[in-house]
Amino acid sequence: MIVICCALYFEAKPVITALDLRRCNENRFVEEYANEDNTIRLIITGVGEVKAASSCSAELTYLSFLYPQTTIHLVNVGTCAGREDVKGELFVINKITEQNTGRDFYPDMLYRVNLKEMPIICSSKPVKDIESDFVYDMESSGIFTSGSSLLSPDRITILKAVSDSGDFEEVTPKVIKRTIEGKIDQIKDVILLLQTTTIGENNKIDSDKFEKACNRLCLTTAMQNNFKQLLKYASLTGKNTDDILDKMPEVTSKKQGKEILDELRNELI
Amino acid sequence: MNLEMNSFNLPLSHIYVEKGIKDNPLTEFILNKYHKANVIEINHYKDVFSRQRQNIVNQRKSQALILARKEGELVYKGSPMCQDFDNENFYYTSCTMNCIFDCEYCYLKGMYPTSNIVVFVNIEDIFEEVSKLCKERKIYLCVSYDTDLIALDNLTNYIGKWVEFVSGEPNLTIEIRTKSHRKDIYDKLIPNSRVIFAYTMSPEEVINEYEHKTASLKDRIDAADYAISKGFTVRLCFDPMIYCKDFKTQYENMVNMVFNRISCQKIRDISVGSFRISSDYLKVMRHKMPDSAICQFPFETVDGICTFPSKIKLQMEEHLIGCLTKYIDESKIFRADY
Ligand code: SF4
Repeated sequence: MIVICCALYFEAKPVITALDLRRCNENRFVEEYANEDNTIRLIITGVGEVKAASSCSAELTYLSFLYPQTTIHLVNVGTCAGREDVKGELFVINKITEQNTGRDFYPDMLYRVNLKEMPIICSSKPVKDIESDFVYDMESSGIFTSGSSLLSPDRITILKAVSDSGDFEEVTPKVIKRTIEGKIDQIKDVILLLQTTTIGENNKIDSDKFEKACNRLCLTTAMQNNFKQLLKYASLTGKNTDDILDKMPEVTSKKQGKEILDELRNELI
Repeated sequence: MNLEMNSFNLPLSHIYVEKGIKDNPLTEFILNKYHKANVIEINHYKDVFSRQRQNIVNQRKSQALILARKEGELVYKGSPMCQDFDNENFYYTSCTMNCIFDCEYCYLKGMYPTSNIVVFVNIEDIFEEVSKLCKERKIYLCVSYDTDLIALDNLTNYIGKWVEFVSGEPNLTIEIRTKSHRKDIYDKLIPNSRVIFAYTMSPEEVINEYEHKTASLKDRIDAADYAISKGFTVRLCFDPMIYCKDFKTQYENMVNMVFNRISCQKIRDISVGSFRISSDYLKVMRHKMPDSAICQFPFETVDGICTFPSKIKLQMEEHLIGCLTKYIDESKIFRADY
């Protein structure tokens, strides 16, 4: 699942249209949008590190109860300030420096997104003086820190389109929307690519059947852990764990249960 | 290349460089060599290396390189889980951390929080430390434990540096462990009996199943044989032995293949040992690699060390020793204590 965060509705609008997202009200703590099969969601966080971090946390915490964390990829789509000559360009961010604290954060750059890379400085207020080697925004560090409390650093991608060069009086909703619109095809490509890299969970063991089998076998907690490990191995070596669980007999003592586990171990290895 | 791999950047497409070593000659050499890589400046390697919750499985598909300065302790006492070959002063050092090979069972996956490779560019500081240790006693030093140094030699040229360093330190013997196919390194080096090139030999089935990206058995045998022909000292490591259902046939075929090619008289020694790993590392690996059959194998745990169940372990080792002693005297075989 892709979770897109945008600070402003004007930034989000072109993405919502391009990905055919609709308003949804599953998580009442954030303004969110989703596609029909719920594989792409988008939230509006508000401006600034704190708002970005808290909205992001609210959404990720909510989703982490419903989906395995390994299947979630967080993407920040937004505008930023940068040099005059890169105005209108879209970058993927490889380093985030939080201006207030001087701390640096590094998303993993594993995926072939085919965009130029850039480090970003995340400041608490709009920046006027632009250094040539950076772009500037006000949310990325909040989004990265809140994202990385749940996700691995390869599962957070920051995409920034340069809307201005510090002349923020001119940054109107129209300019922001136009900047994102100008790069919407590339943004969409990145999102579709990231979708192919989110992994599902394999070798799941039916917890209900497992619990019943443990009861039938009178297993202690330690024995249950051993049993689970055997089942994981069985599933990875092509055995049907449901069949194994169904075949577990009813016994009357822990000792008998242990004997059954020993038999199963011998059978599997 | 499959669709999934197409989604990933090439390995070493990203190089993180500590600010303090930008002007180091090795840094410059590597950055020149990988001039298309994206270079990201960092303060300290741990800012990238030690981040929380890294996905080591995905990182493997696009390993980044970190160039750094090694500080603090530079040489460590050897672990009791590693073979010391009856050497009293057994040490190891890591001038690089992590490996371009991808053995599924490798303890580095449990020990390090990342799959990214660190090259410490200040190898001279390690030499200085080792020199001090060698002043009064003989030292046995493993230099390729937390990596495969030969596999990374194109990047670092460290093998040549180690060989040259050893020639000036009469009290020092080093072991360079590898699963690489490379033969060309031997054309550039001067043999020294105190530099031991240790080749890990595994049955083809184990290599195919678990030792991803490493050389085939045939290529390892070729490389070891070539090293011997050029006068280098070679050790063969049948360690770690990995259990597979038909281990008897697999290991027997492997031993025959090795000694049909390599003359047993020319081998310095042999090590034999079953796979073993600290339970703490295995716990991490099981969590991070839920789909790895070898990590999820129901090992036996004794005193914090996980091994194959003792019956299997004994059977495997006895069988292998039986196969080996057809070719080589038992006194040349060292067995792991675990
Ligand atoms: S070659 Fe050695 S260091 Fe490299 S992955 Fe394999 S076991 Fe680990």
